[in-house]
Amino acid sequence: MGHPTRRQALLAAMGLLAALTDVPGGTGTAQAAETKVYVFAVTSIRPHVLQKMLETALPGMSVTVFGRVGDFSRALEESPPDAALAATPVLAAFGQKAEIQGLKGGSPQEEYLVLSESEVKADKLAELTIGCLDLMGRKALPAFVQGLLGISREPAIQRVTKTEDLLQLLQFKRANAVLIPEGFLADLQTRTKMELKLLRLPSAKVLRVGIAFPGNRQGVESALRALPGAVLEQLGVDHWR
Amino acid sequence: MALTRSIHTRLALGLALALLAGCASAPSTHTPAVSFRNPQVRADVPAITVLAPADAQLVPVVQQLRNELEEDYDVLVSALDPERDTVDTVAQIVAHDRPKAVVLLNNSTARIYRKWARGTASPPVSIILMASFAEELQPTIPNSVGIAYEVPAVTSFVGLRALGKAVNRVGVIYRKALAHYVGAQEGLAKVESISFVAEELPEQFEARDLKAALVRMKRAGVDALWLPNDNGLLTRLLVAKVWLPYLERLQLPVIVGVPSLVRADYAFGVYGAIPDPEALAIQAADLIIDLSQNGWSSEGQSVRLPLSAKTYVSAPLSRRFGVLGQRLQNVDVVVGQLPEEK
Repeated sequence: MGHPTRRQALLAAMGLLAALTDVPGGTGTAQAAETKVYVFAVTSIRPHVLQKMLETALPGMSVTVFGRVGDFSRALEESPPDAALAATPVLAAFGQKAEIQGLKGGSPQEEYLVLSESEVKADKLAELTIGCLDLMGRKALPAFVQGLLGISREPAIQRVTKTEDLLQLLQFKRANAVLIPEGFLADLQTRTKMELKLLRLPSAKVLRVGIAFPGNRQGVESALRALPGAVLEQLGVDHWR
Repeated sequence: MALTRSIHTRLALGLALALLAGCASAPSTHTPAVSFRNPQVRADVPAITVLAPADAQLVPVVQQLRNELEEDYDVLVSALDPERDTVDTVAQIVAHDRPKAVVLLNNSTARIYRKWARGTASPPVSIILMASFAEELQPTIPNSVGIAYEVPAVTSFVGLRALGKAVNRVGVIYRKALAHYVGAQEGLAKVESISFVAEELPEQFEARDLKAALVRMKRAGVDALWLPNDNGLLTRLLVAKVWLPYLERLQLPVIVGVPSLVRADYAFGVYGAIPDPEALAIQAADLIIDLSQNGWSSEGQSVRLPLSAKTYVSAPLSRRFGVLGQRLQNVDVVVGQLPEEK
């Protein structure tokens, strides 16, 4: 056998890189002719679990659930799907218009809460380091958080990719406060015995999951509208408008 | 009895082999080698140099760093071979790339770079990543910062708590050499009102010391036992003669830091929070941005704790210890199946 040649080593590395970057972060494989659905959702279950639920509900379609927004945005650009599901501002951040909006309890918006170890005042938020989920990438995130906090300048940000990691930001004192979707407060409370203070802000509301159609809307819309309740629950909605 | 002993001996062999592979913590050079490809260097775009062993495990880390930084920086990766490369190699790479910062992937890379940095008037700021015990390494490398590789124990504790298991008193058995590390973890756990029941073993401990410590842990009524990564406590002999039979008998849920110890086939690790290389890369990218806003200086910075981890749970053991089956959906890797799913 001997040692591989430089060319063989290069080809092996290229193959590995190609495999890693084909559909980054996703666990599904897409074929050209298949109807493709991409999902980036803030859920308490792992992306591969949600992907399995969606694949069962959408037979014959290629579904990829992304756990990181960077992987989602790259896939949107490099290999656009027929439908993309994500919180409506996330879709907008990547140039996608939500044609269908998800609702829960009749409301298209979800409230985000400010949690902190020490009490914080709304008028001091701009001076704090705020922990938040990475919903739109490093560069766009500070302005997004600024809007949610209703403050006049972009705050210092510490981003995480999973809701559970917001707790570490407080435990390790990397952030003074974190922004958490209200639907995840109960889950966080099962984890922690920290005595956290809660602040509600009128501005901290985010449009829930919406659906954009960068590709063949006709081939996918009815199936998405018919998603079962258990899947919708994981997406944080109970109805489409 | 003889049959039980034989099973434990066989399991111990498998477990010991798994440990040899897993307990090295940070990636070593025992995995397939790769050649890193670099992008076309752009004019007027500053560079970030990544020094790394040619290890396939590190490709996702490099890719994620590039994804996060490529808009603003050329991320240039050079493979370093700890057997062959020297400070001259580092000098050539830094002279060629002229980087704003250098990312040092794993311990062997950091050690080669350290030699060069110590002999250089003003080395660029460096970021230690994917290296064991970065807190100890960082003060020895001029103008360096880092992200710890080891997942803080408290992350595992609250992770297991989230699965429905009460975790308020945690037992830990450790050798004196790890006393400082265990103390630091105890401090972090206090934030979550978790107390430690600690058993420090003497340097020249024997199997019976470990057995006695385990029995005392059971009597102390700990909610779980946390096992720090320590090859000295996980020898083949100790696994066969102590860990496997005693954990089975004492019914203690064990939290581990190595995926290979979370198993469905015998009573050992029920839960583990393991470093997530891609999440570490994203955190490192944010650290690099912070450094850029701090004049590319490490001043005022220390080694940061990792914010994210991959979680592993043993389904059959989790059932035994009261984990709620529905919550296994919140775990990255479920090992084995719940009894009724067989």
